[in-house]
Amino acid sequence: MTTDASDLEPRLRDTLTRTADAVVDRPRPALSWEKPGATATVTELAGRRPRLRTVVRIAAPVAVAAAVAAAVALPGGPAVNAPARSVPLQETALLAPGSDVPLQAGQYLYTKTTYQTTQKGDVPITAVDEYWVPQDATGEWTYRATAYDPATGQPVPRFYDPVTAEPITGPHVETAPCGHFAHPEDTSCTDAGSWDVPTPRFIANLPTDPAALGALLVEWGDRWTRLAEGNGYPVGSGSALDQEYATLHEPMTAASNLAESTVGMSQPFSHALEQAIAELPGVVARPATNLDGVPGTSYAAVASDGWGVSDAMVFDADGNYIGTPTSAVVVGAADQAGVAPAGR
Amino acid sequence: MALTSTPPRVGHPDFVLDTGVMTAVVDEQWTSLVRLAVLLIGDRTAAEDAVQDACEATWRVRPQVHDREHLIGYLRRAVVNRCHSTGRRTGTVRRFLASVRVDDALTAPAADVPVLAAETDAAVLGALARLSPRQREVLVLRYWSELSEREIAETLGIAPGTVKRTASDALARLNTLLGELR
Repeated sequence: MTTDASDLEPRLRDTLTRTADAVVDRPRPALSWEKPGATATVTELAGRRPRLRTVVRIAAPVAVAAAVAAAVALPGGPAVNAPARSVPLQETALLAPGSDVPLQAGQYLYTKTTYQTTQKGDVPITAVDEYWVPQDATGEWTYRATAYDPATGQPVPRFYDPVTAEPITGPHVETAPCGHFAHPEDTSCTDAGSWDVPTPRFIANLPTDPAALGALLVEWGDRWTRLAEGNGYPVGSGSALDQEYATLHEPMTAASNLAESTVGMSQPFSHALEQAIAELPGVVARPATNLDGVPGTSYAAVASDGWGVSDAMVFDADGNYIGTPTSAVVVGAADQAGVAPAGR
Repeated sequence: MALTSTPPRVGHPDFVLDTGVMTAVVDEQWTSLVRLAVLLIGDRTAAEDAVQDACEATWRVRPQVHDREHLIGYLRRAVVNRCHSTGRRTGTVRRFLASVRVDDALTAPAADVPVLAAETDAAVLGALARLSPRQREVLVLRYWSELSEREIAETLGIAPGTVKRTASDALARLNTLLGELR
């Protein structure tokens, strides 16, 4: 290949054009203002101007992988029926917590996830996501996002204007029925869901036998890898070690999505998930604590070269998912939406 | 601040950013924005995610846009910003570099693309991935989006002089990298 500078610009232009043209047109997803009722139902509690919520969740690489996977519209997973909004759904009972969090009439299931991440310029922050879920999960959910400086404990902006990059100060609060907030990754609680966005309905259709659940996680991981790598996979798809990484990482990604989605849900499923994860290939269990220092057992996939290829998930002694070494999950019963239970 | 030299926009006095306008503009621009994002971060699905995020964010902020073209420019800027932070946050660009293989879906040549062109594309994309995000943005906006220096400056929020300098540096670096890849 020549490096004659005189033809560099036309070569660059041609390459960019060919590469862009190779991105074929395909239907775009429905956006929030196009979903029935979505725009009208997402409001600010304090009447402030709606603000951007960035896609930052626990274990950012995993969340990003999930977002990437979500756009592929994977087939498969357990058979689920189309959502039927008008029919009371037994699946939403999953949102009622297990025996560890008894709710009285009118109370909300409160979940709080605290995690370390970075903001603009890779500045470390501690982000906090709180949800208040009504016992009838099709009712109105409340979401509050805040952040603070991990060194000083002082509040810091959580979000920034997407164009001006100006910080948006103060807590960010939204409400939406059925948890259907106007974020690309959020779906209605009665949606069928998928491995990437596990809804209560999706989880309700999963087996609670650890071996069967583990087999589904492995199957999903393999299917996703083939979709991501192309039809010829594994031919020409990197070294054997690369393939091993994929084999170990993808099931753990699915498991992580499930773990995050089952926060505050039925304890039996969470325990089954822990057992399934423990048996996934390459998974190593060891004592660990979450970000809050709560002790438990962490599970992470480690490749044959000793390289950790997944985030560690921590479960407490009762089989409840409590976060990761850099995140913490707590659940409780709240009397009022938008107000954390005492001590939480 | 260089943007002060930008002439004030004269928009249509009746222009209202409502759901109909957003849907129409997003429908029309979706593929173009996804292609832009693919060129910046290299991954189709991550690019679609970035465009979706940018559209949602734009709708929720409801910027004071003056007309349709202004809205398109705003969306483009939001997409570039989103790609910029996505690349930094996730190392997407590093994966972009790793993905530049002739058997990859992104770079696999179409049947009517000559072999030499396919080899050129792989090399140029590989070199692009090794530029800084800002250099890559300037080159993509200049040579694919075909924006003027002023428009690139507006999109990236930098001075037109910086655009010129960045483009020059980026081309020189690109040329060096292509030489190394021979």
